[in-house]
Amino acid sequence: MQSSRPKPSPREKAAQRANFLTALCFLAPAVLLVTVFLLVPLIYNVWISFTGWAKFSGIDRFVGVANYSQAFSNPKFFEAAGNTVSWIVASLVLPIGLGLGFALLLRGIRGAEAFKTVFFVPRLLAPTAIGTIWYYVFADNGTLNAMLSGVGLGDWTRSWLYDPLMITPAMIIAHTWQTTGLVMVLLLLGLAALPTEPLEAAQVEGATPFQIFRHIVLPMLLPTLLVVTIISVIAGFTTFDLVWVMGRDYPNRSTLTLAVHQYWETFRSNRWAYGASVAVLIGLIALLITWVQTLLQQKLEDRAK
Amino acid sequence: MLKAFKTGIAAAVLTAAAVGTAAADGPKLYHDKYFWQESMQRMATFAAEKQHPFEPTPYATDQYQAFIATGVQSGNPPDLFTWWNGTKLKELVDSGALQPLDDLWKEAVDAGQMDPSAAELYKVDGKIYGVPLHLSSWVVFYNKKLFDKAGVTPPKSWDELLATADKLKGAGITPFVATVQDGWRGFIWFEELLIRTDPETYLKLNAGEASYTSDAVKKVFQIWGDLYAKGYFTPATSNEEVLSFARGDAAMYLMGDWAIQNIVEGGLKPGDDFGAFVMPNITPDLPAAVIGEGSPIVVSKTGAAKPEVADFVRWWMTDEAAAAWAKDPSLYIGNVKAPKPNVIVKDVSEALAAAKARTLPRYWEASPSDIVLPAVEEFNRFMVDPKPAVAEEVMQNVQKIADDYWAQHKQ
Repeated sequence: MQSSRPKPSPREKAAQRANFLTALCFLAPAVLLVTVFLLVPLIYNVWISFTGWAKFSGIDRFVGVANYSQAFSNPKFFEAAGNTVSWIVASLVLPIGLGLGFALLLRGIRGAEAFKTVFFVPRLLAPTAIGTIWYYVFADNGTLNAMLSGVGLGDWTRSWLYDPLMITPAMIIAHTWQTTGLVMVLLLLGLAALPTEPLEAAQVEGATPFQIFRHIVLPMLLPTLLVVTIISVIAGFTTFDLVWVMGRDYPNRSTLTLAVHQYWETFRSNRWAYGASVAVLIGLIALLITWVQTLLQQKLEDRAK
Repeated sequence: MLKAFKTGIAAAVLTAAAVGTAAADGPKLYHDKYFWQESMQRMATFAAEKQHPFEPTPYATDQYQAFIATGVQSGNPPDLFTWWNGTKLKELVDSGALQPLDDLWKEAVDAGQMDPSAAELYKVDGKIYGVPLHLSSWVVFYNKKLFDKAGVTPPKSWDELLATADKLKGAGITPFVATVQDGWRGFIWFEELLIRTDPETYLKLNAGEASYTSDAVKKVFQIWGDLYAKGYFTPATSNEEVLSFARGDAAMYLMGDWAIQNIVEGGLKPGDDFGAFVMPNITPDLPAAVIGEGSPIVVSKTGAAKPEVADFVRWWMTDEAAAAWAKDPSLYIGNVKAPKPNVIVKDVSEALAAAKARTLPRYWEASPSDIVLPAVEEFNRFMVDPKPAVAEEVMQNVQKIADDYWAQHKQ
């Protein structure tokens, strides 16, 4: 460690200044883009959320926190928040659980590449296309009901997408189908990067496969799992496409997530200022989640040191 | 080599610019009727041949409303665009963005082209603010083969309608198709049953002067629920409403007559395979009435200053344009010289004229959209689960929404 630096000579100072200017030139396009397309709209959105917005005349007055208190007294907002929590939990448990299972199963078996490709393919489709495909799986005259009738389980057929207990699980199944492949590939990469010595040592010592997984593989895989967790939480939190395609028309909009609620209020109901306040709340929640995850990551890194 | 390449690029750019200019000739007609876009493009080709070019430009409905609203906010709305009649038109007129079109209407009526009553839907405070993109009546389509199979004919009274439904049911045919597809359809039967039992309450409801928990509305839900209890409807959860009717899943279908083209695309021929009748009144001594709907083409004040915009609107109301639009996509705009789009529209409009039927505005446009949107979701909920307890909840919930709205908006 250096406690005191020698004073830079005038030549060095000039060089530093030139360096700084060069850096600034390189930075300028990025700074400009981020400012114009991210910061300004963000600040503008926050400003809108404190105003009243009349449909054809635009911002017409400052209303303080009225839009926010409307959100907190709106049962639809809480319903959407509750649905979003189910989505986050489901996208944590299902894609990661299944992805990890597939990754462990496929590790080192013959034809693993083919299986990996098959599991990964849904990831390549646009979520809207996935929603449409699964809409027709669950539709009244869709694949699922046809299959059930075909095997003599006609009594089990139902309007899956209009059943209050089935609609969100149906959408989550579609989501899991799409996201498991990516999680699996990331975990396979994580598994491939593990050092082999501890595993071999454990085998020599006579540990059972479960013990090896629980005490050696899982702890070493934690950093990868954390990355996968972050991706999954964000995917669950920002779910829009699937809900829009499969659950938008569900009576009373009781299947919407926060993101869809915000879109609906803004563009369908033309309540732009209220929509802006919901957007700010979504942003704050996302910030909070990211903060918790950063803390966890920090902890994990500290432990690894 | 490089020079040749550069020349080639320059030529390509010039050609593209020239083509671009040709295609952009004439005013842009913005709209959200993307399902008619192909017909509109064919119409644009025809219009260009007749020296009245326009360029149809479609948007998805949500983005479209935002696009028009921001245009009006910034004082720069499009010159020419489609809108809705009723409360939605009044909102836009109140914003000061639209140009009254009384002069163009007067020309068209004086020339014996347009039926003056077609302007009624577009009047706000005595002035006319639109020309029809289409004028539609809401009727009951019926499948002729299925009617023959059950040995029934189009009913002339509510009792006959119930007897018809009963006979169809007896022959193993579901009487009506009705779904919540796309989320907006819930009001259709509500509105129809209300105008057939108590049209004055319907009008008062739209104006905030009657309650959704009134006896008149309770009666509607009771009749509606009874029809469901008798198994007269297909499941509300189907996502293939028009196809369902075209396939013969049920014998009757209550919808705007703009849907004829969709039914034709489903494989039925108007007149031969399916016909239409106006829903009979339930309360027998009521005067004849029908639900009318008509999206207007409107002109902004900035657009009104451009001669090519007025030229297009003037041409749109002629029999030359109306005849082409009647052929494809089979829509009626109120021009009396042009042939009617199809035999069903012809028969229905003649029957309505003979009965001196009064046209009532559609619930979607007649009630404030802040009430309509959540109310439709409630009606959909009833259609999916048509129990008396749900009906009770729906009436209470919609009344609460209406109370909140009118508390803020009553003068």
